[in-house]
Amino acid sequence: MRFSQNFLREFVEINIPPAELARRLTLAGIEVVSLKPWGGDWIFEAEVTANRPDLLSIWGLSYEVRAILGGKIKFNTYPPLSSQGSLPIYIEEKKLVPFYAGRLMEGVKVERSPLWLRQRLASVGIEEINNIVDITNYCLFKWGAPLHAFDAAKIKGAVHVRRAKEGEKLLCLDGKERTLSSADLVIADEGRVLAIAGIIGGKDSEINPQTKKVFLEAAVFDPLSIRRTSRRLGLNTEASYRFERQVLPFNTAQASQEAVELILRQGGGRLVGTRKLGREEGKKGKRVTLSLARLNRYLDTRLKLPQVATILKRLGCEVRLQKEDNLLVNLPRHRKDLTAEVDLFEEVARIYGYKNIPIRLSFVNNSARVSAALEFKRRLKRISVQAGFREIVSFSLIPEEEAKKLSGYAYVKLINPLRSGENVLRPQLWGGILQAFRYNLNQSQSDLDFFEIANVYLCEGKRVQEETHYVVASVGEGEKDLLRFKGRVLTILSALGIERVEFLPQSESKFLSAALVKSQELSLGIMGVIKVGAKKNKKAKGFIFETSLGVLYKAARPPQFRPFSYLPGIKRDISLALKPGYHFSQIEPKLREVGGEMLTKIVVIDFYKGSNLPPGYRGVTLRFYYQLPQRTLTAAEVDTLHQRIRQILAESSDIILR
Amino acid sequence: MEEEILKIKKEAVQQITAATAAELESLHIKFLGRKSLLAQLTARLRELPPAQKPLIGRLINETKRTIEQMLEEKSGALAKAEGEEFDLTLPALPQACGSLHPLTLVAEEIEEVFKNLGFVVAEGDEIEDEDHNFSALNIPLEHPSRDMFDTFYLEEGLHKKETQGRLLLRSHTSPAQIRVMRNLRPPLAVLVPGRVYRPDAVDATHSFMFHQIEGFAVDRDLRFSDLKGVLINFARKLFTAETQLRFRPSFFPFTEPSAEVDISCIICKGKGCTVCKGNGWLEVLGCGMIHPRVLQACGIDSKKWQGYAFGMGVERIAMLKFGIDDIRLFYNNHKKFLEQFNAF
Repeated sequence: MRFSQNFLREFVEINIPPAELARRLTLAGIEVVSLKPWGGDWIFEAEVTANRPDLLSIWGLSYEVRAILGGKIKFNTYPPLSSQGSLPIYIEEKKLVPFYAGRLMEGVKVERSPLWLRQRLASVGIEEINNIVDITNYCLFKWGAPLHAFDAAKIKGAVHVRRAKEGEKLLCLDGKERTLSSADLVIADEGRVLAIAGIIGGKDSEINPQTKKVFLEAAVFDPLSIRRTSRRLGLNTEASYRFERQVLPFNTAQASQEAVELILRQGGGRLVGTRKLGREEGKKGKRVTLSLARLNRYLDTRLKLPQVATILKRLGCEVRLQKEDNLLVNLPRHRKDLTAEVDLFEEVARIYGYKNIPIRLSFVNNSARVSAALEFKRRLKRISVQAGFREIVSFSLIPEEEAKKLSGYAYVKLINPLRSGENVLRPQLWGGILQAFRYNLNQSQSDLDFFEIANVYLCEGKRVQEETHYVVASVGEGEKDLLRFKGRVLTILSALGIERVEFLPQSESKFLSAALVKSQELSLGIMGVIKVGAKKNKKAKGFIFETSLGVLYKAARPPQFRPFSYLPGIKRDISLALKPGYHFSQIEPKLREVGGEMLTKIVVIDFYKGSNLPPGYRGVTLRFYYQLPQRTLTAAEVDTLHQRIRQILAESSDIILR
Repeated sequence: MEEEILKIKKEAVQQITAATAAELESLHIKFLGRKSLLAQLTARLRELPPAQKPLIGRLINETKRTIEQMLEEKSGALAKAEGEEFDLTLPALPQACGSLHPLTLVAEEIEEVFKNLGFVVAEGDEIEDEDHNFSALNIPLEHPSRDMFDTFYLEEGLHKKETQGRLLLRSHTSPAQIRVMRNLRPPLAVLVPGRVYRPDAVDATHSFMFHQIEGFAVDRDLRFSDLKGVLINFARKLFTAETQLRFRPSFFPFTEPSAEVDISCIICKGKGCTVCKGNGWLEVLGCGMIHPRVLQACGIDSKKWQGYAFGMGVERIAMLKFGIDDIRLFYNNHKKFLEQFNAF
């Protein structure tokens, strides 16, 4: 809401500098976002919250300034309107039009507005048009009630307030033609639509230099109906903005009377008829009892009755003392936002000043308990960092093509996405990591090791579900990089107490290679290798492990000490090459069976490629660790066992020993 | 005996000075080992008259220490001579490490401040329904007060376990407040961090997805002064102990009275700069006393229980705290951005 100091000063005493007024208004809840000198005046730009339509008028602002500064208000008000003469007006949607006043003037002269009026409008940023329209705009700002003036010569027969017929068209004041729907409320004559009620007038019936007869409409329209039409048409006007937030019959009738008075004074002519439909509300609004004890307890203040009564009176309330420190408060009719005692607590608090309320700090009572699952999530983040991964945050909304391409799951779609690039709730996390890899590779970054914990969203039939996932991933090229990544994942799992992890080869079309990761019959998730698809590094592959946080939580065990052996172990290496498509898991169980208790560990220590291997074969050197907890092994017994293991490897037609 | 000791010492000095690296170990055994001359002399201490014992004992120990030191120095000198030198001034080899996302760092820091006062952390679903996101929070379904909560809706016909109204992506973390209050009896003090969604076009200060932290407490005698207390404590712990707070009356449908909270600009200390647009204050959060209608909607008797609630944007706090000027940096995940937050 834009307003000027001089405009406001006509109606309420202001005895402080503009900058101070701006500060005081801000601290009372009307945030002044800009203050600028303008001629001999000051222009304030204030943010008005959605609950305070009364502040969209000089009239309402005057009450607020009085409450803050305590000066006097000087508003002339008119007696209630009454019908005179005969004006044919038919309200066909009475529920949507609780109040309507139509007034007809003849012999009016349309010309440029006088200086004072032009200045007032310019100060609030409204363009001057002609004296009639300017007067309606002036009254809109002063009273907060939108008016509309029609060239009455263009109205054929009676005025109808009705719903539009589907597809009816109107050329509007802004020169655009709009097509209406049967939900829109319109002002029409016997044959056609003249205006979209509460939003914009029609071009044809606008006031023009030749206009002699003016029909002035002052009405209250249903906020929801105006809001829907305004949203559907994408048309927000000073009028619709106020109607959406509620306009009151009292202000509307006041605005109508002042407008007629000004029109007759400025443009001559005479009033030939007034038709009022609906009732103006009485001066007294709802009554609420305020308990001083409750107020002081709610705010932790020590306010006295007279202080509270003064604040409420200045805001326009009528206040009566009741027994036991209770105030019976008659709420002002322009404050429809006040309905309960707690609303008055806020009124008192903000005028008294939030800064004057004491400060208290104590430990809170709580029946809520710490969530073990959330603590687990925190721990997992730290373990991942410790294993050298960086946490990322990627968007939960992805393009539908990606969801189709990357996931076999049913996914959840939005009906009102901002862009088609973000219209599906992601069914997995690793797409986000892949995108971060691509971005970083194209930005010439290397050594990319990321993780993310976030929700995924799944659809089972029509039932929507979300669960928290954990994804950890690295960029690499060859099998060596993959196995290093695998080692780090195993470190993370072991830090969670998840041991005996198996990798079962899986064919997944979206991955180059994949394995199902299991621990003791529990499926943890999928590890896969996928092309990153970065422009700057065509060879780059993403190694990904994604799992559900719930599954990890279920599998995790607290740390437990296990006695370990101080006796030295013995290690023996074997170099071999695997046939393309052959998995080590096809032979590992046999090796473990033969190795028994003595074979404690197998690790990869080297990779090689060379022309001496058949095409496609992958060469690795494995190191076998032998140890017994109870005694030192002899070289001879290890040699015997290791020889048997070599034998098993040698017998396989898919393995070449070197 | 004194002479014997001095003789051993002299011999040791000569031999150690002339020794090669290979000889050092045998010299160690010769002069300091279990069967060394000094060890033998120690054994013979018993035979001496009591008056001489302390003197000779001390001499033996000193000699041992001297020989030990000489051996060590000689070994260092030999190592250096053989090229085993370390240049600490050469540039370092890069060492990879992991890191937490700055949004996690800030969220956890905020959580710590409130945990220390007795709050516990809870999380809620991101897919919510109209009842929890709006109605129960005293936000009418079609009203201008909804404009500040523009919302993404899910396709028609979908449902959750229990759905009241259409499904949507929560536009704030407050639905979790409703769920907690409906499930648990007061007293309550809960913090809800999480992702929220609003159809805002992405620019330097807006994103359609961002993070909020919501906090609320309900008890028999919680007052506006308690709300001020926890927030002043929060701001001073998170920023600086000198941080000033300004509570501005505002409007949220779910709190009454409501306030917006500004902190004194952490860049210019309130003098006015470009970050605070010259007015010395930075808006950081919204808060208020929980509206009695919200308590009632959760089956909590508002005549017996009172509470407060507050909510803030994690990105906003992180941007202020770390001096980040573009919100998009949080979601691009550029390594050069992430590696600036190695500390955790």
